[in-house]
Amino acid sequence: MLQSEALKFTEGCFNGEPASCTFACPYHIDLRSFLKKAARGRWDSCYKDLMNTVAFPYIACSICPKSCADSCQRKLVGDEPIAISDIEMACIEYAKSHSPEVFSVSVKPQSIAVVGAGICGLTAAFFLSQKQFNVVVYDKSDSVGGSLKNHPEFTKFAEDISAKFISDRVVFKLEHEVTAISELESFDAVLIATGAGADLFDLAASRDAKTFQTKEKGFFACGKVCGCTDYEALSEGITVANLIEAYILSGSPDFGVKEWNTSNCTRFIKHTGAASVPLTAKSGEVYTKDEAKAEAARCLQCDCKACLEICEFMRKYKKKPTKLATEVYMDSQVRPPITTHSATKAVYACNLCGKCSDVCPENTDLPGLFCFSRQSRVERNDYPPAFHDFWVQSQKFFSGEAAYSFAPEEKCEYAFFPGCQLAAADPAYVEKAYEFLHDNYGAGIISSCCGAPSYWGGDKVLLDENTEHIRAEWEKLGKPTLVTACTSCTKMLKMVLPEITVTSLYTLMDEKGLCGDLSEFKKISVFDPCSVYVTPSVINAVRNLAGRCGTEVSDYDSDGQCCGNGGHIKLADFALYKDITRNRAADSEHPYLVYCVNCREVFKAQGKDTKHILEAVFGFDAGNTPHLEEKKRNGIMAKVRLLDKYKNFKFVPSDKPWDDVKINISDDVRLKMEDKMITDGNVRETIWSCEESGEGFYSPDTETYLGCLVKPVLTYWVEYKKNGDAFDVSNVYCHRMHFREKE
Amino acid sequence: MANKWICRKCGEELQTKKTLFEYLEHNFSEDLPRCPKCGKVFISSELALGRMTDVEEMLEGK
Repeated sequence: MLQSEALKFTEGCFNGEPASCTFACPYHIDLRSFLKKAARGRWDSCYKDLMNTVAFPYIACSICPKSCADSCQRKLVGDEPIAISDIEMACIEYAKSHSPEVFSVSVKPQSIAVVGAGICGLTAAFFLSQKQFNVVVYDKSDSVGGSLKNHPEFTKFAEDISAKFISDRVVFKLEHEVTAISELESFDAVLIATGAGADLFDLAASRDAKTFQTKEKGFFACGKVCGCTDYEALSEGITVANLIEAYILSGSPDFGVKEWNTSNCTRFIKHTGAASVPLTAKSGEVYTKDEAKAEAARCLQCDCKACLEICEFMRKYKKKPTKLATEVYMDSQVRPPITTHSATKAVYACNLCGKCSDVCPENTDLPGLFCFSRQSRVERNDYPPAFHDFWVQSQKFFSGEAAYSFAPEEKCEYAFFPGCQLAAADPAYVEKAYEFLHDNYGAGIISSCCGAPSYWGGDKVLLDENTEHIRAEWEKLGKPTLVTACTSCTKMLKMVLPEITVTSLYTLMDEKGLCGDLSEFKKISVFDPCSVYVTPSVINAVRNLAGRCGTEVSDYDSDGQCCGNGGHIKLADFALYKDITRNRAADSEHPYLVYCVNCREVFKAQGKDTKHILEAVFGFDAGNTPHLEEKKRNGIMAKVRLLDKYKNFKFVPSDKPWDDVKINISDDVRLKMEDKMITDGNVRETIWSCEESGEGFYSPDTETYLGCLVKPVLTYWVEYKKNGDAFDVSNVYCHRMHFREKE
Repeated sequence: MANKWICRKCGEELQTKKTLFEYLEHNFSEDLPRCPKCGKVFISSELALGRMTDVEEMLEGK
C-alpha cells in the first residue's frame, strides 16, 4: 500500500486546520484552543500557551493590531467579535506564574549571537534558549527593550521580559557595540536585529524573504532593521528562532519555513444557525474571571467536526479522518509480532453506512478507506479472521447449497433477487414476493447472496467468485432486470455488476397500487435502511405503500443512519454494536416500518415494535427473529418450496453426520450463542465429535461432559449432560486463539 | 461450586502444565490444567471469556 492510496480517501478533510482568527493573528496563536481553555478558567495553561507562542504575552497583547477581530466568525451571526485581547489580559492577570516552562530537551552545544536586544532579538533569544542553545545577546545600550523603551507601558514590559530570562543559557552583553564581523565568527549562527536604520554590515537588505538568511551564510536578519513595526518585529522573532534551529540542525533554514496561507473558516458549516450571544460587558479595567470565561465561551470553536458529531463510531474512537487514513497506511507496514497495529478495531468497527460522507462538506470517504484497508489486510493475510468468518461462511452457504435460479419459461424479462437474509428471516417473504412478481411480471428468480459479506470482510477473491456466479445465472435467464428486496443487494449489484439493470420490489409493488394493513398501529415511522440512498426513489415508493396501509406515517427521517448491522461490526466491537442498535431503536417513539430484514431483526432484538412492509402488504406475520441455525434452514426451505411449486423439482438438502444429534438449549445459553454467532450446527458437531472419539472432560459429581471442537478460526466448547437420546446443553463458549496439545 | 473435571478418555485428574498458544503470528505460553497422560488442554468458560478474550483483543490491535 502506498501512503497516497490511503490518504486520498481523506484528502479534502480540513478538520483541525487553524481557524481564520489564527490565520489573521500576526503571531498565529492557536486561539481556538486558547479560548476553549479560557472558557474553563484554566488560566495557567492559557498563559503557558501564550508564552510558548509569543514569548512575552503582556507585550505581545499590548502591541498587537487585533486583526483577529476582523476574522472572527461571530460576525457571521450578527454578533460583536470575541474580545480576545481582553481575555488574554485577564489570563495574564489570573495566571499564577509568568515564568517560562522547562522542557526536557537535550542541551545543544551550538552558540548563537543575537545582535540587538529589542523585541525581535529578545523573542528570538528566548525561544532559542528554550530549545537549549547557548545564546549571547549584544546591545550597545545599557538596557534591553530597544525602541519599546519609549512605550508608555515599558515598566510593565520590562517585568514581562525579566520574568522570562531566568535561564543561564542566555548571556547579555550590554553596552557592547559589535563593530566587526570577525567578532561573530565563532558563533554557529548570528541574528542581526539591530533596529530601524541600523543595518549592521549592510546585511539586512540582502535577506531572503522566506528564510531570513542574508548574503552571509549563517547570518539572519529580521525585525525593525528590515522595516517591521513593533508587532511584526515580535512575530519575526518567533519565526527566526525556528529558521535558525533548522539551519543549525540540518544545514538549511528551508526546513523551518512554515507557510501560513490565508484562509477563511466560513466553510465550517456549523455557523449556520448558531445562536446569537452578545459581547460580555467588562465591569472593570480587566475582565473578572467569570466575565472572561463567559466571553471565551462565545467562541464558535471554528472547526469541521461534522462526521465526528454525527456518528457513534466516530464519537467512540475519537480519531480524525486524516489520522485514520494515516493509521491505515501505517498498519499496512506492520510486521507482527515485531510491530503492532494502530487501527484494527476502528477499521472493522465502522458500519460503512456512508452517513459521514453525506454530512462532509468535502469528499471524505471513510467507508471507502475502511473497505480498502480490510481488502488490503486480507490480501496480506494480516487480519483477524474471527471478525468476519461467520458472515463469509454464510455467504458461501447462501451462494452455494441454498442458491437456485429459474425462469417460468427459458428466459425472463424480470428476475427476483431476494438476497440471502430475506428467506433466512422467513421463507414467506420470498414466497409471497415471488408470487407477486411471477403473476404480474412473469419473473424468474435468482437466489444468491449479493456478496456484501465478502466485500465488508475485505475478501476480494470470494467477492469476485460470487459476482461471477450471479453474472452466469443472470446470463442464463436472458439478462433480465433484477428486482431486489434488499437495498444492500441493490448497492452491491450496482457496484460489482453495473451492466445489470436493477429495480426495487417496492417500486413495482407501488406501481401496481398494492395496499396493506398496518391498522394495528395508530402511527408508524418508516426507518429507511442506510444503503437506500443509492436509489432514493425507493424511499417514496415505501411511503406510498405505507400510506395505503391504514395508518399515519410520522415525519421521522432516519437520515441515512445505519441500524447497526451494516459492515458486520458485531464481532469486532460488540459494545459499539449494542450502543448503535439501542440508539437507533430509540430514535423514534413510534413503531418502525422497515424494508430491510436486518433492520427488523436489530429492532426486534431491542424490543421495538417493528413490521416489514412485506408483512403489511402480503398479510403475514414473520414472528420473532429465527436463530442462526433456523436461518440456514429457512434458506433451504424457501428453495425446496419454490422449486417444488414452480418447477415441480424435489430438492433434497445434503446432510451432515451430526444433523441427527438432538440438543436442548436454554434461553440464556441461546442468547450467549447468538451474541458470539455460534450456531446449533457448531454445538451438534462438537458433541458429535466428542461422543465419537470419547474425548473431552467429565465431572463425576454433576455427570456433566465438556468437549471442544477446533476449527480453523474458532475453537468451540460445549458443556452438556446426556438426557436419554438427547443432550441438555448448559454452556457454550468459544475462543479465537489456538492452543497446542502436542509439543 | 465449580465442577471437578477429569479427562474423559484417561480418567486422570487434571494437572497444571505449560501450554503453548498462538494467535495472529504471536506465540506465548500459559500454565493450564491438562490431562497428565494424553495432554488434553482444559479451558474454562471463565478463562475463555475473561483473560483469553482480553489477550485476543490486545493482539488484534487497538
